[in-house]
Amino acid sequence: MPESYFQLPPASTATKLRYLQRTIGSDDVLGGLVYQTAPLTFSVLAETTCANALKHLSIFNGSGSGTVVYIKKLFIIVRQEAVITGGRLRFDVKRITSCSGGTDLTPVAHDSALTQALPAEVVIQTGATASESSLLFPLTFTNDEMLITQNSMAQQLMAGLNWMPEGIEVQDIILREGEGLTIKQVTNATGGDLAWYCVFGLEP
Amino acid sequence: MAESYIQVPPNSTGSKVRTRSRVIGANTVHEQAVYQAALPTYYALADAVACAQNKHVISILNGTGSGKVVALKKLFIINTQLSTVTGVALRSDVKRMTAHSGGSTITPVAADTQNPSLAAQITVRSAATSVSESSLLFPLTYTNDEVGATQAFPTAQLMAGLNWFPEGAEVQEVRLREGEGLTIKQITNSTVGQFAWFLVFTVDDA
Repeated sequence: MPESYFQLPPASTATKLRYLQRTIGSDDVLGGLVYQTAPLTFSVLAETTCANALKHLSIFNGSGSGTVVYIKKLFIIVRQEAVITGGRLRFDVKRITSCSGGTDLTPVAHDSALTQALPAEVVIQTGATASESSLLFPLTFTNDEMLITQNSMAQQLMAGLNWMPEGIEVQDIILREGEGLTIKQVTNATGGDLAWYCVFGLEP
Repeated sequence: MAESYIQVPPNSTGSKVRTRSRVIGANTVHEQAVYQAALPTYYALADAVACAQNKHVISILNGTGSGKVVALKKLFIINTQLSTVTGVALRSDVKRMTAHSGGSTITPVAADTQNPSLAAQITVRSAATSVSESSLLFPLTYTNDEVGATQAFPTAQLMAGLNWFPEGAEVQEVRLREGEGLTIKQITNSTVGQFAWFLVFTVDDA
């Protein structure tokens, strides 16, 4: 829908603000219609294979970006289809203060019409070297393959859960300039293909 | 936080209010854009807490003099037991409390580094040794068996993704005013397994 604005008229003769009328008790009352704004939103996908200490996905908002990054959602998709012997793995979601040396990932804008270019200072990599800081929370799951029956409940349902806390009046994890986030494998294990799907927003 | 307002100036010369226009019936009407406000948010993690009967695995207290009210938004229970154990069925109780001491101090992490520092009276502990318990809010029941090594054992993985605190539109979170706290206490007698207890809370002026 087209974005618009108005300057309130002096005599209520111009633009119409949308309201709904309800009868509550003996009163007809009006409730305004509003819509929830959204920041410029991007998806990024890291398709990885488990390896000890691998930073599967790192997002870093470098100095000079002129933007703030909001981490909105994180989905974990186990994409291991061939049979392997799975293990029990721990990954840590941590803040970072630098990020380099990995393979660059290219985010996809959710709205090609409205989205501005992602600042070059916002670096998203898999396999990066990063300076770690605070641990936010761990993730534990198996890297076992998807079964060919409906018994793959763990991975199938896990893929639909957003692992970033979100809710009413809850701040997203916010990355200001010089700040980042990484997901680091802690358990020493190899094998098992994963996809890390992150949705983030940008605001000036 | 203090309530405030903006007086929109007359004569169409002042602040611009963002809207989108729609045609509803015979009218072109405007709907106003809004942002969802958020309060300073903090993450507190009690990591790899070994199970033990009567252990207060994580507790948070808004002590007297903080000048703040703490809203408990989220609680995630993450099984961190990665080696094989023989689990049992466990019960833990989520209870209000009025004081805690001892154990390990947990330093919450701000969701935004520009958030103000937490008031010193707001404390988070794991394995507090002295807790003044009050009302039981609700129990948690789960197994302390290890994380499954195959996809056929989904419980631990899926449980970690669920918020165990009631939340929603027009629902008050459990709020901790000065002198109030919350604890999670293991009831069942078992020393098997370990969990990360991940608490998300917001802070507002009292």
